[in-house]
Amino acid sequence: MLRAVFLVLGVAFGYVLIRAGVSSYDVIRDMFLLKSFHMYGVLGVAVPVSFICIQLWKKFGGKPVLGGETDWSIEKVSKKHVIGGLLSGAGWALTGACPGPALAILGYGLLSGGFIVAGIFLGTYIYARFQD
Amino acid sequence: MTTEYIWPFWLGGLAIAAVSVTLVVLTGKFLSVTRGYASVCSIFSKLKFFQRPDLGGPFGFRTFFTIGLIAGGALAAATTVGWQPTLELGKFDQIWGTSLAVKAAVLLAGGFLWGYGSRMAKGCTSGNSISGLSKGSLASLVATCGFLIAGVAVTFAIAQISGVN
Repeated sequence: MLRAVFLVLGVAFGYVLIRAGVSSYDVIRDMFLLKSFHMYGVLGVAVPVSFICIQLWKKFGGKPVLGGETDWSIEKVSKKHVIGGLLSGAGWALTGACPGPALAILGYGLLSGGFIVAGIFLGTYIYARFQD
Repeated sequence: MTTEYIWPFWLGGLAIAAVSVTLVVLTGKFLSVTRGYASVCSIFSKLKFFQRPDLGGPFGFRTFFTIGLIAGGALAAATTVGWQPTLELGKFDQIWGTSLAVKAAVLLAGGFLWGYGSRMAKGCTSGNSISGLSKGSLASLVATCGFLIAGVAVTFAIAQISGVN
């Protein structure tokens, strides 16, 4: 059941990431060059709406419909968030795609997304390798 | 990618929020695309790092989210412009040229930074900027600022050097 929900919502999210324009190299570039408002607008709606919905839901118990417990764990701020955030941002600037959009554009037909996806897998694996 | 099918910003923002909130309300698990990547890694690697229960194990639920994202992109193409495979990538080609080797190297390097950096920061834009911020996580705010600051700095540097505006 969990797998089916994640699959369906994954399809929905991939579709939305394309239609919202956040998977376009040029849109991301224009955001970082402060030339276009679009991406700031998308985040400016998505972040507060998610925040309000999640906080309200938490107030009303926050029990998942499909059972189990909600993962309310929060990370403590550390240097890793600063360095990891900056490295990720550099990756965002080079590729024009976040990890989600990289997969979505690959499906969309922008096959260069395959290079980005391969790079993300490699980076994930190398990081894990150093942790073990 | 044509821009005529791009929704207005508020609709895109609402749709992203709708997916992220629905996922949490149904399953109690927060949206995090890079955990999906790590979940796929657990199929091929025995590293302890990839065995965390939250990833769902090999072929776990987060693997299915990753597959869904690709299918969702294909669905968006099929219902708008049709599936037209191409290696073009907007202004990228103007900046870096059309050599496939250069494109592969730059995108692999950028992807590597994303993969390494987001594991370090415990999430990408979805995991930190959407999910983490919705939980009120300060660490996610720090990571999000990192994404934007480095993104602006590196993009301005590339524009300066390449001369493409």
